[in-house]
Formats: sequence, C-alpha cells, structure tokens
Amino acid sequence: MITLEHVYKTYENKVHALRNVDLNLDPGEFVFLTGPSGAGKTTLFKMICAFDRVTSGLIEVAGFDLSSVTPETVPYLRRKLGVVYQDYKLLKNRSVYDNVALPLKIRSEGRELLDRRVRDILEQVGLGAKLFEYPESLSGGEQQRVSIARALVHRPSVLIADEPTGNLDPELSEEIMDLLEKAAAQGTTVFVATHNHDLVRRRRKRTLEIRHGEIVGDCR
Amino acid sequence: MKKISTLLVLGACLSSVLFGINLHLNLRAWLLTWGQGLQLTVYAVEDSSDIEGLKTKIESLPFVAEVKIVTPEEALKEFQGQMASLGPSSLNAEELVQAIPPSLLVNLTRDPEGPKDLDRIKVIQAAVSQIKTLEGVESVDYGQAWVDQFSNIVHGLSFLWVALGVLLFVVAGSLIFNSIRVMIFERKAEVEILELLGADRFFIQRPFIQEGALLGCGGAILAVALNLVIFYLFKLQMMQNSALISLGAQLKNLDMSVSLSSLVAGTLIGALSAYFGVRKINSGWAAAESL
Ligand SMILES: Nc1ncnc2c1ncn2[C@@H]1O[C@H](COP(=O)(O)OP(=O)(O)OP(=O)(O)O)[C@@H](O)[C@H]1O
Ligand SMILES: [Mg+2]
Repeated sequence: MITLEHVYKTYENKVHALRNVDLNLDPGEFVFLTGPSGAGKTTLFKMICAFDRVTSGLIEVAGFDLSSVTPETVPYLRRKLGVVYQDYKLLKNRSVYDNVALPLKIRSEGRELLDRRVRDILEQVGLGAKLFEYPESLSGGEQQRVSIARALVHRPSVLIADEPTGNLDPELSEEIMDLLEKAAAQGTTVFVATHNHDLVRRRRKRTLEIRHGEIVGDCR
Repeated sequence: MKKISTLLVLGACLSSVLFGINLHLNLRAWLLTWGQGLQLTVYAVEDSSDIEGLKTKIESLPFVAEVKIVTPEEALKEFQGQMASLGPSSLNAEELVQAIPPSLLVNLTRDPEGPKDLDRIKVIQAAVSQIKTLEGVESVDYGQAWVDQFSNIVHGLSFLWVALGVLLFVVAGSLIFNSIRVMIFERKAEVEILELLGADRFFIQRPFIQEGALLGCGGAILAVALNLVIFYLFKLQMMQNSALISLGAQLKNLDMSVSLSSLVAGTLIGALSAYFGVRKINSGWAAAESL
C-alpha cells in the first residue's frame, strides 16, 4: 500500500531530513513510527501524502506513483488518504461538523450518508456533544480528535497520523488507538508517528524507528 | 467593510453605465419626436416661372405628403409677423418682396409603416438631397436643420457610450478580480487545507466564483437603485424649469428588461472576473507550491 525506495529529502537549507529510506507497508497493516524530535517523521509523512516532493527516490502510495502524479491527479490520491496533521489543520471558520464533513463533500457523497458518517465518527471520538462548536472554542485535545475524525470519516485506504495523541490524556489516547486499530482491521493501512513509548510497547505492533532521517529499526 | 466599499464603487461604476444607456435612449427618443414633425422649405431660383411644375415634381417623390406654394407676399407676412415681436421693421415691404424668392413648403409623410428609428433622419436627409437635384431649386432648408447636427452628435455619442461602457465594465471587472485575489490571499491556509483533503480545482474555485457573482449582482442592484434616484432627481429638475418642461415630461426611465439585463450582466461580470482571479489556484503539484 505504501512503498518507498531509496528516498532522499534534502531541504533548501541543506538539512538532510530523509536519507535512503526504504519501506513497505501492506494493506490493513498498523505501523508505528518513532524517533526523536527532528528525526524526520513529519517529513516522511509529507512525502507520502504528496505535500512536498522528494529529492530523489521512488514512492508509491495506494497505487499512485508519486513521481508521475500531476496537479490533475493529485486530488484523487489525496482522497484515498486520511491524514492527522501534527498541527491539525482545521478550518477555523467552520464548525466541527463541517470540518469533519469536508472529505465527504469533496467526494460528493450524498447528504444522508454524509450526515450519518459525520455524526457516527464524532460520537466515536467523544465529540458527539460538540458538533456545532468552532475549533477556536475547543481544547487542544478536542481539536486533535476533530482532526482524527476528519481523517477517518471517508474510510481511507491509508491513514497517516502524526502524533495523534500528543495532546490527549492516557485514557483518551487508548481510546483513539483502539479506533485506529479498528480502522486497520477494516483494511486501512495505518501509519502512526508517536513519542509515546508506553503506548507503542503495549500495542505490540510493527514499529519503525527513524533517526537523523534514516530508518534504524524495524521490529515486528 | 472592505466588501462594502468594493460594492459601493462597483455600484457607482455600473450605474454610470446605466446612466449612459438611459441618456442615450432618451436622446434618441427626443430625436425621433423632432424628426416626426419635419417640414422642409424649398426655395426656387429667382426667375422660376414654373413653380407649379416644381410642385408636381416634388409631390411625386417618396415620403412627400403635401406641398404648398408660398408666394413672396405670404412669406413676407409670416416674416413680419415674426419680426414684430422684435421691434419696428427697418425694411420696407416692397424691397423685401423683391428679395424673397418663391418657395414651397413640403411636409413629409408620417407613414406609420415607415422607418421609425433614427433612420427617419436619414430619410429626411435623402429627401433633401433628392429635392436639391431638381431643376429650378435654389436651396432646401429645414427649420430644424439643427436636428441634423443633433443626430450626428447622438450618433457620435453612441460610440462614446459604448467605449465608456466597455471601459467601466473593465474597471468593474478588475475591481472584482482584485477583491477576489485579496480574498484568496486571506484564505490561503484554508485553500491549502482543502487541497490536502483532495479537493479538486472546481471545488476550491466555486466559493470564490460565487462570491464574485454575488458582488457583481449586488453592485448591479445598487446601480439600478442609484440610477432610479438620479433619474427622478434629474426629471424633477427639468420639470421645474419651464423651458425644459416638455422635454422633461418625455423623459423615460430604463424599462424592466434593461434593469434585469443589467443584473444578469453584473452577475456574469462578477463570476467571470472571479474566475480569472482563481483560475491559477491549485495548479501546483503540491499544496505548498500552488499559490
Ligand atoms: N520546510 C522545511 N525547511 C527546512 N527544513 C525543514 C523543513 N521541515 C523540516 N525541516 C528540518 O528537517 C528535519 C526533520 O524535521 P521533521 O519535522 O520531519 O521532524 P519530526 O521527526 O517530525 O520532529 P517532531 O517529532 O519534533 O515533530 C528537522 O531538522 C527540521 O529542522
Ligand atoms: Mg513532526
């Protein structure tokens, strides 16, 4: 589902954020990505969701070869992804409900299905009572859960989550992880970056470790 | 706030276009009424003996309804009647009778099937030149020769209206274009997020184009309203001036169809300008490159 071969990313300021990254994630696989701050986790995710271009190497995601993706085709790739950004990227001028409905609206889903899915997923992340609040009036953890709901609502083939539990208490973190595991069980490839080692240890999932832009560990 | 000022300028701009159209239509209408009642005076050459013959020849021309011979004596009486108001005549009658050539008063047809438009003026001009070529005609005069001039001016102005209208439409369009560009800039982060969620170009452009259409439509509504107010003030002014009262009474405002088409035109201009503003959105491979 996700394949990287000899991927390098060097930023304009000569920072080598990724060096010779090779990896392969199967459909329905649940994988953690750990590593210290500045190791290149966010950079790796940005490459996978076509936020930015690699310096060299090959990436294939959900059947799209990213080196040949064009402005016309990139939206179709992104519609197969669900991404939880480290900074949430919520629309400030839209309610929780509208934010979460966006991926479905973009895919022109019918009103009924949209309404059902949005209410359902917001219930699952514990925000059933805050449908029509605006992101500004939410706590950091609540905003994070909105962005998780938005990443899952359209049942993507690939879910990328960058620190999805960074602002959540241990109990909520577990609930969210359960949710992500459920998605993986339904066939979504889930790729989660986290600093929370306890959480990683308890879940007993495949874990990739990245340091200075290199994959230094891959334990299953 | 910024939107309101854009709307105001837009309204002013479009109402100038409407005002131009309105003025033009009214000038044409006046011209038409004047053109309807036209009378020509044909002066025969001084030694003309066959004035009756000339009369029949003119009568046989198209568009001629009635020809009346005016003898020098009659002409003198008329002339003196007119001059009486200006004071005692310094010329004596006999000298004047010598000086006045025999003439014919020609009424042109008011054919209801005939040309109603400005072409009416052209018909008159054609009739004049046709009569001029007849033998025994010294000159042709029409009391309202200035109608001719006026017609030329109106024709000249219609070109100006079109040019000015196009210019103002361009101004209105670029106004909308700019406000949409500003809006895109302000909502850059939002556009980027939509792109990351897989929105295609159309999905992202749509709200901006809607906004532009709304701006254009709002501006046009404002323009129609403003035009209405200006028109009534203008008419009021004319009606209070005794010299202009008859013109003022004829003054007509734009009808419904023009007002409606201007709303449609405003909306279209808005949508189109906005489209040009957002055309390049989402044209990069990645969101980060697209703006
Ligand atoms: N847009 C950029 N331009 C230049 N350098 C960048 C850019 N983004 C990231 N970097 C650099 O690339 C390296 C990897 O950054 P990245 O954001 O991928 O780290 P991370 O593993 O996500 O860290 P964290 O755990 O703190 O989120 C860092 O040294 C960072 O300074
Ligand atoms: Mg990061």
